[in-house]
Amino acid sequence: MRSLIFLPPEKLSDLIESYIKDGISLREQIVEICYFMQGGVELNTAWGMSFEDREIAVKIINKRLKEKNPGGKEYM
Amino acid sequence: MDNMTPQSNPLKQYFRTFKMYLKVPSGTSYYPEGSIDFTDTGEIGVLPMTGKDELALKNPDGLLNGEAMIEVLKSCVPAVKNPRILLTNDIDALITAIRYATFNDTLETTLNCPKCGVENTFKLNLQYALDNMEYLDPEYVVNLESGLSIFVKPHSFPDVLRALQAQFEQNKLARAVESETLTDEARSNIFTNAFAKIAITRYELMCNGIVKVVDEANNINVTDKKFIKEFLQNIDKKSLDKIEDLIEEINKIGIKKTFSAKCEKCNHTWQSEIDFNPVNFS
Repeated sequence: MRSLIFLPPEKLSDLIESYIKDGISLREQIVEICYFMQGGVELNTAWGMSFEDREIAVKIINKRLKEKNPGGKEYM
Repeated sequence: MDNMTPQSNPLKQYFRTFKMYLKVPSGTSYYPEGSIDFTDTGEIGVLPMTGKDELALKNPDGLLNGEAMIEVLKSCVPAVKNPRILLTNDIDALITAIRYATFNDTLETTLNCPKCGVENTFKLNLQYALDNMEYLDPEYVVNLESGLSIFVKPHSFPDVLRALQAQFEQNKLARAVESETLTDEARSNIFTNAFAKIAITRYELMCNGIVKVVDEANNINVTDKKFIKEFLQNIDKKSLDKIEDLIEEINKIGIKKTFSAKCEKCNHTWQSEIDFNPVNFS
C-alpha cells in the first residue's frame, strides 16, 4: 500500500501490470485445478483453497497424469 | 420441523484451519470488550489466505482505499469482527502473520546500496520478525507543562489510510507543480491549498490519536473529540510536537521495521526499513 503511494508513475504502471498478470495466472490455476479434478472440486471451493492446498492439488494432479502417461509432460 | 434444525456443513472438515496464533502488539486492552475474540492466552488465530484473498490483494484500487486489506483481514483473522478498529501496529503484525501462514516463507525485498548503487536482494525471515515483536504498554501519557496529561494511542486503520491517501495526493500535486505550463501564481495557489490540507489532516490524525485529556488536580477529564480538536488548535507548538512525537513513536512499536543490510559488492552496511505492505505479498 505504502509502496503504491510512493512509487513514481512509470514504476506504478509496471506494478499494476504485474498485478493484472498475477491475477490472470491465479485465475488460470484455479480453473485448471477444477478441470483436472474432473468435477471433484467446483469453482467456488477452488477459490477457497489456500496456496498450500493448491500446491498439493497441483502436485497430485501432475503425479496422477504422469502415472497415466509416463512419457508426457507436466500439465500444470 | 426438520427445516428448523441447523445443519452442520458436511464440508466443514475441509475448511481452512488456523496456521498460527499471534499475540498482537497492543495486547488485549486497547479494544472494546467483545470486538475481538481472543483465546484464553490473549492470542488471535490466523488462517492462510484463499485464492480469493490473494486476488483481492492484486487490486490496486482496493489496496489504495483499504477495502482489499479489510476483506483479507476478515477472511484470515475471523476473531476480529471489524478490522477497521485495528491499530496500525496490529495490522502490520497480522499482515506479516497472514503472509507467513499462507506462503510459509521469507519476505524478499530489493534495495540499492546507498554507497555504490548496486541492487541487492534481501530475504527477511518472517518467523523471526514475528518472534521478536515489541508490545505496547497499556497506556501512554504526555505530561504538559500546564499540568495536563494527554493519553494517546497509536493510529487505527482509517487514520493510516487517510494519512497515506493524503500523501498520495501530495505526491500527485508535487508532480503537477513541476509542470512548465503553470504560472507562478497558479503554482503558489497549489502550494497554499496543499499546505492547508496537510495541516487539517495533521490535526485530525493527532486528535484521533488522543484518548483523553486529564487534569486530575481540577477534576477535568475530556474525551469529546470536538473539544480535543479545539484544544489542539489553541496550544503552543512545543506541546503539539510533544504529543505528535509520542504518537509517531508508539505507531512504530510492534514488528521491527528496520534491518541491517550489507551490500554484496562493496560490503557497505546500513540500516534499512522493511515494508510489510501487501505490495510485497506476491
